[in-house]
Amino acid sequence: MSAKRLDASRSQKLPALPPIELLVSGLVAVLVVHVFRADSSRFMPLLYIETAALIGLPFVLLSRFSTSLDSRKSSIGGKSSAWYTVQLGAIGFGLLPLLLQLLLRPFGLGEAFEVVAVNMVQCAAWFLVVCSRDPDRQKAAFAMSSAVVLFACFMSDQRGVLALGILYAGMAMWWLMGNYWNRVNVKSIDGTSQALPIHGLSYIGVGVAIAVCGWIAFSLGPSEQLMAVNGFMPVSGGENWHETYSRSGLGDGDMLTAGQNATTTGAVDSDQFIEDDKPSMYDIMTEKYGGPMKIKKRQNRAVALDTIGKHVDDVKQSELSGKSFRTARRPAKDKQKTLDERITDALFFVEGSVPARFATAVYHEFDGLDWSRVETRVKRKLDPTIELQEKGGKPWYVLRNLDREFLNTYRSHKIKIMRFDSATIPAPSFMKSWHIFQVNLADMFYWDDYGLVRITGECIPTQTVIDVVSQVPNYHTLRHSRNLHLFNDPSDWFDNTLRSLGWRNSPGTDSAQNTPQPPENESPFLQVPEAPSTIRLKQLALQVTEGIEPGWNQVEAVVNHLKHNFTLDSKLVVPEDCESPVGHFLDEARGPSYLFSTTGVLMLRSLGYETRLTSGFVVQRKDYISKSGQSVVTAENTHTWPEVRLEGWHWIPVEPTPTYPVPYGSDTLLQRGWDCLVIVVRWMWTHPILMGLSLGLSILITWNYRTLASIVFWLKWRLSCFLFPRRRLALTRQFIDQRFWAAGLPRPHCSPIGAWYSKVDSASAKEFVNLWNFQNFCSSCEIAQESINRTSREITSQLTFQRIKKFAKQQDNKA
Amino acid sequence: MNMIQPISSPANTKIDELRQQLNRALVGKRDVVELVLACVFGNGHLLFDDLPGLGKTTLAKALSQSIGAGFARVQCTPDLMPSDITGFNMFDQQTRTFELRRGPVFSDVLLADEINRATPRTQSAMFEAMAERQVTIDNQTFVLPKSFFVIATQNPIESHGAYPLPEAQLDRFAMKLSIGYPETQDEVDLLGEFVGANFQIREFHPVLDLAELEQLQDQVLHTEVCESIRRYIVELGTQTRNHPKVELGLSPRGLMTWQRMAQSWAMLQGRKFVVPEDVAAVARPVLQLRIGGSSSKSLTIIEEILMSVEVPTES
Repeated sequence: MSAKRLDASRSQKLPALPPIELLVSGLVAVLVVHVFRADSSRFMPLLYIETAALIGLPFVLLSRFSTSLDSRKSSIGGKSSAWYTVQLGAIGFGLLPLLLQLLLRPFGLGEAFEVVAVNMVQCAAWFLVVCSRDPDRQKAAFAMSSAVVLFACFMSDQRGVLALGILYAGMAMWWLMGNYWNRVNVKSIDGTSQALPIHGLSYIGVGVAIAVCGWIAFSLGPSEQLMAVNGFMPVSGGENWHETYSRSGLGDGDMLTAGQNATTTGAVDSDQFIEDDKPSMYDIMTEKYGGPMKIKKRQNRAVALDTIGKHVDDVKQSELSGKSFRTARRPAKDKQKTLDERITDALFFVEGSVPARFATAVYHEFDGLDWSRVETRVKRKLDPTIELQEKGGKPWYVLRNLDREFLNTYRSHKIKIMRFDSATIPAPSFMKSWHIFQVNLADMFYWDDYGLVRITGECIPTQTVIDVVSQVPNYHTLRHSRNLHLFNDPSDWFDNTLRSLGWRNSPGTDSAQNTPQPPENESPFLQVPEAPSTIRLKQLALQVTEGIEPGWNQVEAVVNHLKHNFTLDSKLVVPEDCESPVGHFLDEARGPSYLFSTTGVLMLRSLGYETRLTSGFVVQRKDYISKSGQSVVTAENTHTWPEVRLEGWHWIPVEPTPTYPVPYGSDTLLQRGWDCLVIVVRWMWTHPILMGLSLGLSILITWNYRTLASIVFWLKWRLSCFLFPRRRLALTRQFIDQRFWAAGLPRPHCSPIGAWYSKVDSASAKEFVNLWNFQNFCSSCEIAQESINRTSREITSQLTFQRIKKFAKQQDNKA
Repeated sequence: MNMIQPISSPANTKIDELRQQLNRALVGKRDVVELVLACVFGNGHLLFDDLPGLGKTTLAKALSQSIGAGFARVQCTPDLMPSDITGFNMFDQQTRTFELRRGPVFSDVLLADEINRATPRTQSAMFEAMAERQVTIDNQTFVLPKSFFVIATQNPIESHGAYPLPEAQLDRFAMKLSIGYPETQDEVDLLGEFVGANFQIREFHPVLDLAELEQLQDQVLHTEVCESIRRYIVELGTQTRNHPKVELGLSPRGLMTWQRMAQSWAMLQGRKFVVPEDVAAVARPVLQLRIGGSSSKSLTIIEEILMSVEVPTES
């Protein structure tokens, strides 16, 4: 009987239980799926019963039918009937969840399709784990379990799933190693060493490995991708609140019970929503940035427009009305809030992907100290109109006239207003449509002068849930588009300044494609205060954008300069007699976030880009509470940022403040890759000497790596002969082998050294090989060290790298 | 210091003389002659498998004459009986006793010509003699000389009326050799020698006597085989068992024979120890006998097996 047949007959005799490591890892996979399903389960007791049944049933079936399986010896196509029975059993077992689903859906206990699919694969895998006894199907079961675990880990943001996933990875490694060692055993020559201690010591090893990996994973915490997973991970159940089987994304479907989640409407008896005095925008700003400071010595300043309050005596009064924002402020109190405190103080909750920013106010006039805004109730023809539409049976307010090619994707958020006392909807940039449950009055909302949507009335009522759909700008398109109307003409003041500084001879004509369009009136978004710091800002802006083609790239250059060369310092307080906080900021190269945005706005304005200051809330990863799948927005999230005007209407947010997330864009992976490539190529272009040197060196190494390798081998041989003189013969043999390798004629493992070496020089090879044979295969022979040294010297001088290479070349030519 | 020295010189000259004599008998086949010598000194039985007229019998006869041993020859035919080989007890009418008529097996060198023409029954009559070097006739066991060996020839292409040797029989041989056609120049010389000479009555003088042969065989027994070489042989043997095209891999007896042949080869090279090259040198004749199949196919398989195992470089 051949060896193969022997193997086959051996595999017939199998133990009653599957290998322990396979069983345990299969069980872990079952638990992973259980935890994964618990995330979206509608009725937990049913899930527990189901899991218990799933674990137990294969064992019951096995104990019931194992004897009858063994007794059936008939075979079809070379495979025993037991083989087919187990196969069919696995398929049948895998179909059980589908049947269960069909039974349960009418009662409203169904699950999303991918959950059912995962469960089906898991059932089949577990059946195979328990019932199959041949290695092939055990491998299949293992692969299926792994796929399920991987899927669950990617789809779920639950820590339990992650922990079990890590445990499973450890088990899987253990199983693979065990499998490998078992195969090594079978192939071992004497066939007796069947008891390599893989299942003894490895328990400890696996335990330690799992503990270390788990510790690392949990100390690092979930990644950004995991945090922001709600919102871009597509699920078949849908991700909108009105879809019945949605389990991720925006809302938990109609099955949601009131009171369990902060996004639900209706009365809740939880104490975290107890009514208290709602903070005004002024309170919010003060909590984050500290109150506005009174400047001791005030000079008379020329104010840009007469329409704004010329004599802002009471800063507080102005800020209370939300019309101004002072850039010199007292330090804010540093408060570390617990999660519960933050939930109690929540202004609103956000469900959907983070980071995200929500604008609540905009300012465009800056007098060197205060930001303010003008209310001009002039309807412009570019203003979008608000329309009421019905989508999926729900009333939606839709803004028209907002579509442009750089706004190509959509993003959804669900906002629940808590203590936010404002009539303005906290809206993401490019809000396209919104929906409030059962609100369908056409004139409920209006479009204010600053591009923000407001509700008629005092403020949005507490616990109002607003579904918001916004468009996402594609920054890559902005960067590379050549016909964007981004420019406005710098004011005469700028041109004069420029000419006086000698920066530019003919203003605004250095780019033919982006010839600035003169506005009908001087744009209020290009206003800059007349202060010494403004000239410095202008210089800095020109310096930063030198050599960059006008357009979005210049905007990004300014923003990135601020981001990388200035330090965020929320505690920094402007001296009481300082009249120009911006000048102070430039001097110190540090400051709070509102000075970053103010400086950013002024720099961009000085370059001729229409820019405004927007204040609102930035929701970051740290605000995301994975437990409830939503983010809490408190006064801590208050932030200001510049927005650049594009094509008359679109305001594109930029972020000059370090540590704050860049505005969300819809740049695809390919676009990001292209941008990276451009950066790399540009860097290479600007470092020609370094690139030339490294290119030359790499070509040299690529073409001559064999020669270089032979030199390295020679050095290694000399050194090791010096260190281990007694091993000289062995080292020499190794060195000659390496020389043959380097010359492109590596000695095959099946060829004796004598036969190989004598191809090049039989005489010197013969002597060396003789000596070699004496030393290695003759136990009674002793060889004098001097003859070893002499022969080693001789063979290394005879079988040189060049000679072997020449020989290899001759062989090639012959071939 | 034990440097590269030839083993005891008188024996070496004897070996050289034998070598020369055999090379005279079989012109232009030095490699075959060398393997024949390895087989003889390794005390193994030899099977020639080749076409007619290539010098199988000539070489066998030359060998037996050169050793100076008792030579017997059996021309195997389908009607040859086992007793025709071993001998039998014949009733003597005069003395009224059974008298043993010794068969050709009672010799030092037995040439079984065209062995595959004898029936399996007759072929099997040689089992005991080849394996244990003794003959049992009617419950009486006779011990054969220590240096007894069998040279058998067979014709591979004639299948009519031929009985392929059973595996058990094949395993008792040490080597299977094919002689092959000589080179053109060698054939020209051969014909030249044949002009004016009667090839049939060519005689060879004995070079070795049996005692000297046994001494050399003893020397082979004591040639050193270190562990890495033994492991190498075993690994190669395992490969023959695992090779998909080989029906029956090497038996432990096959491995032992292989090692003995490698030892013998090492002695012929003037060494007192075996190196991997010795193992590889005798691999073809030793394995060809045992893995079956046509000779060209089995040669490919042997090459594959040799390529699949790493040669021991250090012990």
